[in-house]
Amino acid sequence: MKLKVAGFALAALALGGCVNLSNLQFRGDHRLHFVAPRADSLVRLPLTLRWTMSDFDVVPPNAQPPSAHAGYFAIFIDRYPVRPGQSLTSVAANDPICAHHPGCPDAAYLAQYQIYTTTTTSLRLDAVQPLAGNNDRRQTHRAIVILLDTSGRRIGEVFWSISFDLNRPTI
Amino acid sequence: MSTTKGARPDTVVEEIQSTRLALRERARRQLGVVGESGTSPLRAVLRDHSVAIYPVVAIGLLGITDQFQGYALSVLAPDISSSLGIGIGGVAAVTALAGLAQGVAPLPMARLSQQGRRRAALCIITGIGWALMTLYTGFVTSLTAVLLVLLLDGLTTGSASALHGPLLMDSYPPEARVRVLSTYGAFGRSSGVLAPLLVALVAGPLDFTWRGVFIFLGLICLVVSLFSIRLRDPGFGRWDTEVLREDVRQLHGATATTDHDEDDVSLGFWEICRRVMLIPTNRRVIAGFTVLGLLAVPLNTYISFFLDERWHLSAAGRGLFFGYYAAVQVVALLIYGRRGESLFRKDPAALMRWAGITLGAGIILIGVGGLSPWFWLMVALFGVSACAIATLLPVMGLAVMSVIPARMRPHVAALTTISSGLGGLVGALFFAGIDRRFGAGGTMVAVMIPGAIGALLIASSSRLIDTDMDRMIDEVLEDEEINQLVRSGARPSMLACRGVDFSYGQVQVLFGVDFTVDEGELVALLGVNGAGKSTILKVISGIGIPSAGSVRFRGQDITYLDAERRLNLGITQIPGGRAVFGSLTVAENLRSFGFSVRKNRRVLDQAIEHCFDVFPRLAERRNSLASTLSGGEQQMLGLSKAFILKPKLLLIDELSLGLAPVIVGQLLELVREINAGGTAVVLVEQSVNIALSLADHAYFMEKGEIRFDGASRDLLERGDLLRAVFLEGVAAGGSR
Repeated sequence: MKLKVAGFALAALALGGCVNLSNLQFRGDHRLHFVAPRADSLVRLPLTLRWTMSDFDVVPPNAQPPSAHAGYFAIFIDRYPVRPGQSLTSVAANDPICAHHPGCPDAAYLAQYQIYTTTTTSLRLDAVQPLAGNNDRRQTHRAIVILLDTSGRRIGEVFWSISFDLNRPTI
Repeated sequence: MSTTKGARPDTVVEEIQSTRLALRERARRQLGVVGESGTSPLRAVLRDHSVAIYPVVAIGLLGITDQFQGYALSVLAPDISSSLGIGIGGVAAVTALAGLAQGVAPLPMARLSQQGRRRAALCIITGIGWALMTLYTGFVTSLTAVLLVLLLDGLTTGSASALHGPLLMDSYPPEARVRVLSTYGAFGRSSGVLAPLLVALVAGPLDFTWRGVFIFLGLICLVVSLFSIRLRDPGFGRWDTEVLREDVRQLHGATATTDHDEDDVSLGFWEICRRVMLIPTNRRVIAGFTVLGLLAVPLNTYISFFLDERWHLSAAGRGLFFGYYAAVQVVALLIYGRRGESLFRKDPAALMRWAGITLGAGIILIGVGGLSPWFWLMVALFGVSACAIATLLPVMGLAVMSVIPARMRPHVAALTTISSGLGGLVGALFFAGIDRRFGAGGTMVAVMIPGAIGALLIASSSRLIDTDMDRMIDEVLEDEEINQLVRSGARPSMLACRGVDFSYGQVQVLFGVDFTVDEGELVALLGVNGAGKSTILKVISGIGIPSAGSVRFRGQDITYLDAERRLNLGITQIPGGRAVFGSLTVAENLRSFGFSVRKNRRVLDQAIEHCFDVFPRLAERRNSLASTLSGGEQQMLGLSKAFILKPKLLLIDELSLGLAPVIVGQLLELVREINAGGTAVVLVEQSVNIALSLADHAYFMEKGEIRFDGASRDLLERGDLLRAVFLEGVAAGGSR
């Protein structure tokens, strides 16, 4: 029983250390609305994702000091986004080749992983990689949009996602 | 029953036997088996016994919230991954670990609930535990925190299976138990409807993120846990085994006392688990739980793919289907309770047969549903099947908990959960292969294979449950009888084996062996090779556990006690043949014999020196390997164990085998001295002359049964028995 109590106390401490309430999001964030494509619809390439954004200043990287109210977008196709507070460089954290190249990861590198950034409210996709291990002809893809501040770090844990279907290209 | 102070042990045994027969039928009625199917309404039963509905409601609500975290996690995992930037692989890994924690949690919880009235407190604590963990999930910000939360949640929610059922069994009288367990099952299944509704409500109209959902659910869990705060543990066997004991006490005109002298022989955790698994009904039904766990894989996972692939149901459609699936199970459980109760009251065996048939019918319906060309027919067939399968759990739970003493119920509940989990693992592998080859529809049809096996297993327990229930009754009655007789001044035998059966695998070698040794007695146990003499010694010393019967030492039940604990009680065995460690020296052998007294090194050293005094030859060869000793020296070394451990009961197997008569004479003299010092001795011998020259009391065994029990001189007149021994001895050229 003592062990159990100690375990609970330990867990409470560990969890307490992890929590910073101000950064946590408990209610839905509706500042972003997808305009196209229609959710779960069958689309063709090239595909343009469009959305509207309110209460957020869309500015280029390094345009002003970092804040939670201004920045640009990062879009992840069929991938989970980076952690809150991290920049996109964390995508290449375990890539020693990238680590030895100044400027890496750049847009081309990130595109290999289907990660894109934009300072507009749309993104044109000329290609989407088929889902690994899925041989279905019709495949459901998911795009997740997050906010980056002007220093390139993810703002909070907010995200918006949309699913769309694509027919697998035939060889 | 009248008892006389200082009554002979065999008189005591006869008294016990007659009382047992008189009480058994009454005891079955106390356990709810009345031989007729009539049942009063649940409300009337509760009113008659002055029992409130509160425990089943409180525990049932805990049973609902128990599953909130798991459900919410499975639905919200993608959102958690996106928010925290954790790959789905990470979430899947921690979920698997949490599942593992949930799987093993029942065992330590059973251990915790073993002593004292702790189950209600543990229910409340674990309920608050998972409420806090669900709540905290809404605040996690890293994979480590998710892991911690899920592990603790898994440990607390997993504990429910070892606590809830046994606590309900002791909270309600037997004539309400099927209904109570069914109601609890209905509560549990209703979480399959409530949890999706709550998540949909909180995430939809209330517009909360996954964090908000967990906090909302956590608060509900907390409220429910606080609602259960008035739960109290009524004590083990309040309505059954304690009632049986009270009957015995009334028969003796005694009152309940708390001075049970069983502290030193009460079974430990693993001893209880082993004892539970030795009961044939439990083995069958627990195997049935494994099959149910195996079936849960297609019913919980592949059915979703089946609905998608075969019927193109959207996520919402599948959600509705699962809601319907859970809802019909809730209804079925509530309706079935009374029917199950009637069956159990009339004939528990019939209930188990019915359970087997129900499972068989259920899986056939799934198979047919999987092949159905019409959607609504498939829905109907799956619904009826869901009803059938849902009713199995309370029945099977009741079966395994009815054939064991109340104190062991948390253990059996834990074992059923674990076996079910193991079945799930096997099912995952089995059905993954089926799915690859035949698709999700194929898995729906494939359930018929393990399902049929499970149905046969469960149905076959119908042939065992009555016997096992009677055995449990007999154990309880015998225990209380002896308690009362001891209190009234009767002297129990030092050792009493009653109706001992023992098997090596499928080969039974002991058949209802009764064997008694009095304090300070020297008993000879005779018989030809393969008669079972050595086996009965193993059963007494704890190396072998009987499949039936009891072993009592000074009135205390030690049937399922580990061998090392019997050693501490004062039972020592010198095995037949070369009872030494050949690769150790003589001195090392002696020290190893004193393993149990090793903490007192001075005493051990003195005992070893005493052995060297008694056996000067061993002193001379103290540094020689035991394997280099002669046969006689090795037996001396073996016999030294008695001088080191100073047992109350010494079991000697084949002391004279292969030794020269002069050595045998020396050793027998020592046995006589050990016995004269107050140690009771059981001497297994093939040499009739040797055995009967030493012992006044002899047993003769043949083909696993006791054929003679009486004075040694009387055995000498039984030529019909002894001829076989003599003939065998002559054939072997031994000394007879």
